[in-house]
Amino acid sequence: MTSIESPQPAAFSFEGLSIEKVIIHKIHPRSGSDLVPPKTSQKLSVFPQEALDTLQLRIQKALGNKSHGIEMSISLEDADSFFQKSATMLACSDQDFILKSQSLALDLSKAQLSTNAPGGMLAVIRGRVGDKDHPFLAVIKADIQDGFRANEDDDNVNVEYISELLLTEAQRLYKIGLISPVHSRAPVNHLYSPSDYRAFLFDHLMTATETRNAAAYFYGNFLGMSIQASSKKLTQDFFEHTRTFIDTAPISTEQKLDLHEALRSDLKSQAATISVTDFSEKHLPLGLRESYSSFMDSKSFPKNAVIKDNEYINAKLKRRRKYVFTNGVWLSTPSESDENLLKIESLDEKGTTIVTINSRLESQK
Amino acid sequence: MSAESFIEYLEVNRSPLEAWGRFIASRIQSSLIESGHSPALIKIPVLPRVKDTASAVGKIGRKGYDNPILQMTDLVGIRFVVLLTEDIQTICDIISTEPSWKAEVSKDFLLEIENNTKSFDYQSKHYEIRPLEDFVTDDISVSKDLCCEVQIRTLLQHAYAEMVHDNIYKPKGLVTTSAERHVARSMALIETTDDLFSRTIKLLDDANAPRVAFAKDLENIFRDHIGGQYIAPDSKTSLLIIDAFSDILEPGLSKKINELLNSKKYIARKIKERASTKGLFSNSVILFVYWLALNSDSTTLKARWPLPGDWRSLNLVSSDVNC
Repeated sequence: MTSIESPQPAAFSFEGLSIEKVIIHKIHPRSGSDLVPPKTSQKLSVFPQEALDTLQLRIQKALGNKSHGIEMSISLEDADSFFQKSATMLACSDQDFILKSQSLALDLSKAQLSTNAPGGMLAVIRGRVGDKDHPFLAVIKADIQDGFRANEDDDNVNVEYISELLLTEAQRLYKIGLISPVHSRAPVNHLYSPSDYRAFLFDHLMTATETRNAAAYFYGNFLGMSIQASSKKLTQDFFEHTRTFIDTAPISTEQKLDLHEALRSDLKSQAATISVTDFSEKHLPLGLRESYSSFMDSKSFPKNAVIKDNEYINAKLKRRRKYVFTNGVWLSTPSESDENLLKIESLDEKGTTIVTINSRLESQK
Repeated sequence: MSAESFIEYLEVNRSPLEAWGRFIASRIQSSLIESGHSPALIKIPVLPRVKDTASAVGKIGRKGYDNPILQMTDLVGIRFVVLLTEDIQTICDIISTEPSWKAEVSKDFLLEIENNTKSFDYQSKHYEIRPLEDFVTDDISVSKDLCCEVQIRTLLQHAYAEMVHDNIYKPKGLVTTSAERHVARSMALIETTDDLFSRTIKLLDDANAPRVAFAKDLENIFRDHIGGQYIAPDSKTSLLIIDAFSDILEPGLSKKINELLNSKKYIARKIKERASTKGLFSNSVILFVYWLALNSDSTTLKARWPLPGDWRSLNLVSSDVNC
């Protein structure tokens, strides 16, 4: 490892995701400031294959490759925490699974007691993921929507109104937390160690800084997760690797300048997360997208999103420096410019300035 | 043998002759299917025809047969009409390898062409087929002396034969030399056209050989890793997908797909789970879709996906491999 930071963990892949058990409970919004207990199921849900496939699509789309899902740190690890309960649920009897999932439903109701969060359904899911078939436990809080269903008979197509619809493709209407062990070890004093687990979150509220606080009841209070300490390093990696990619891409100098500027402005923006897919789809020409994502892949940069934290790269994100002259001429230099790039000597008596640029003219626009 | 006793013989043997003809027809058709050919190879339904008494007696008079029961080899006849000259050979192979009868070639047009290079005449392949032993079929005893004439010809040769049989060979009136010249010319055309048909099919087969071989490989890999019981073949859909990504086919691709199934065990599991409900997951081409999802970028894959009625299968595959 050449990095001074903690070594970057191996990429986590959401391939081969399979669902083994599901139970669903109903969460109510608070009533005034009082807790309304969830309506809990006593039995596991039995789904046909198509329904399991759809659940798989929702989870993988939200957390997997090209998603806005983010890896999180596990910060609450006491016996009552989501982490300990869910780690136990990875290998337990159906009866225990049902009981623990009911207590998670109550935990979620409590976690949203201080907010105006709506009610909804809580799905607790156990399954396997990755080419090594690691177990995972996921919770999905799905908001209720309304919608229609189509009924067809021989003569007509009718639509029927449905007031309680959930888990449609609309990603604004569900949140997911997921943990999966990368090392399987027995608990010590009935407690599992967070360092053996990877934790992931999808919540559209996390993607913008303005809404991140509104997401806290779910990821912080309920899941006991926090934003990874490695966000700063990951943001720096994203910046450096993307810069290298732009510099070595087979495109004109002008296009390179534009892309560098796009990178700078994405990092300075209000968006709370960054991802290879977002940058690629927003800025890169079609022909470069695949090589960019495989380049970032080769640098082990996550395939989903990461929380943006510019602390390590603030200096590098400064705007280019601009020199403006009285006759309308202006020069622009990289933000970190110094005497090595150019020297400005003013000869006031003649009203002229001598600018010495330590380089050759490459292009003109 | 007197004409009366021959007529009697023919009446007694009418139904055994027909049964023998039917037996040969059905045996050849089932062998055709067993050897992997389409029943559609035969273009005209095969029906045994027993010679009617008057025409048989007439023929005895014309040819001067002294033992018509043995000498008349066409008392019952069946005819196979196919599209291509190659298809004739397919049927000949079945006839000559069938263990329950003995078959002799009585007319071979290819041999005749070789011997008469300068003329164009009736073309067809004829066999005389007799049972090895007396036997019973459909509750009817068939003697080993019964002979069935089997004719095999192409559709175009058949058209020629129909034309010539009634108008030139057994004319109702005068046949002028120029009429004879005309049919000879038409046979020259027919021979040329049959040859062009064969070449056309050969050209098409050659062009499609890689994709056909690839589809076959996929089916074998599917049988090995997932199981033959999950396959519901739909070659139209398979070829649609293979053609949409034909530029990606390369030698050794089947081997790579096989390795993929070894390295990612969940693929076989996912296919099994969905094989009973999802059309495309019970089609061996799904293996190619997995390979595409992993090895081509998703924009291209979506832009070229040839099944507008089935995006879900593609979404599920992409989700399975996390791409």
